[in-house]
Amino acid sequence: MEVADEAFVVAPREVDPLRRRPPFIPSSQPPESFKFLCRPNMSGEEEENAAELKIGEEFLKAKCLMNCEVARILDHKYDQLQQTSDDPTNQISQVFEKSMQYVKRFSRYKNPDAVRQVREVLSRYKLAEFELCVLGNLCPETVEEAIAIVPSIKSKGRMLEDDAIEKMLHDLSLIKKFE
Amino acid sequence: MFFHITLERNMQLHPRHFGPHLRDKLVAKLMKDVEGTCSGRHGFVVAITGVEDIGKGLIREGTGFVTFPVKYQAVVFRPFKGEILEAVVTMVNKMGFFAEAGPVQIFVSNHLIPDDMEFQSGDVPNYTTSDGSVKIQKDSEVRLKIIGTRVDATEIFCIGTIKDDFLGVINDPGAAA
Repeated sequence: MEVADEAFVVAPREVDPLRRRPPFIPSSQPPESFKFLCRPNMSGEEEENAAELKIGEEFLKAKCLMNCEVARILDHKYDQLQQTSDDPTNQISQVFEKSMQYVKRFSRYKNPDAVRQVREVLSRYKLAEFELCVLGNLCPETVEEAIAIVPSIKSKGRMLEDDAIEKMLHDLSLIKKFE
Repeated sequence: MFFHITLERNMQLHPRHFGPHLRDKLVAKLMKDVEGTCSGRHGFVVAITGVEDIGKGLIREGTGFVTFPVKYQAVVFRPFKGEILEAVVTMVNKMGFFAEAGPVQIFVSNHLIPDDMEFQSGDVPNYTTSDGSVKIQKDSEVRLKIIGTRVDATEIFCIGTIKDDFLGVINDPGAAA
């Protein structure tokens, strides 16, 4: 019995000096090694937000494609692949297949002439490529809807009035009607 | 959104391909290597549409491989935060639903579905308004806004919302049937 009791005596706890933490000194400035966490982004770039047209220099300058345009390009490519190889399925990636299904499902304009017209009409309104394609893809019916899906067309410094937007939407619906 | 952009890549080619068809081999290898891949910066590379320029090759010491800088044009799909797009619902559960817009997967949590839509379990799990007029189920088409993206080594995942003006179901497969 006595032996067992002895075993339960709790020895005063000794802190291993190696495991002792350094004292915490609060300071207003973060330590140098954590400075990178304070930036909005690891790469130092501004955070992206399509609503404010912050999509990065590279994509802002790049050519945007509407779904109907992508459908034409992919169709063409698909035909090419089928001609050049006996078994086309092994060359087509999943990404290609999924994109093709998607753009076919969500193409507003099937007729290549209509697609060209849409681009022409929208490009009269001093829109960014990205805005043009969102409008072409979603085909809003009212001015409020157009502003809700592309908030940047109403942002500061743009000369687009409600009347102009209305006219633009009207032009779009006409193309769709006479397609 | 789909973009048409110019990209660059250093291609390594084995010496056995050298000959009159070098360019064809290089383009074929480029397509095999690049199409279907995904990077955080450029998104999914859907299809290569053309090769702009093939630079001077550089022989690698020791291996005999030659590296060519290749400039090419490609159709890429890159989702952006704040972008509004249409997607097809692929799965519905009590946590929310998954939708697909081309190659990208988008999750819409039940917190980001309008409060008047309730989850209904059963054979075809769905979210329905109390009056039953609007229903989200598999194969529904929805318009959603991307509010967050996560970049993986081989994929991009998005978080979306339909709790905003002019967002939600645009086509309900159940309604037509």
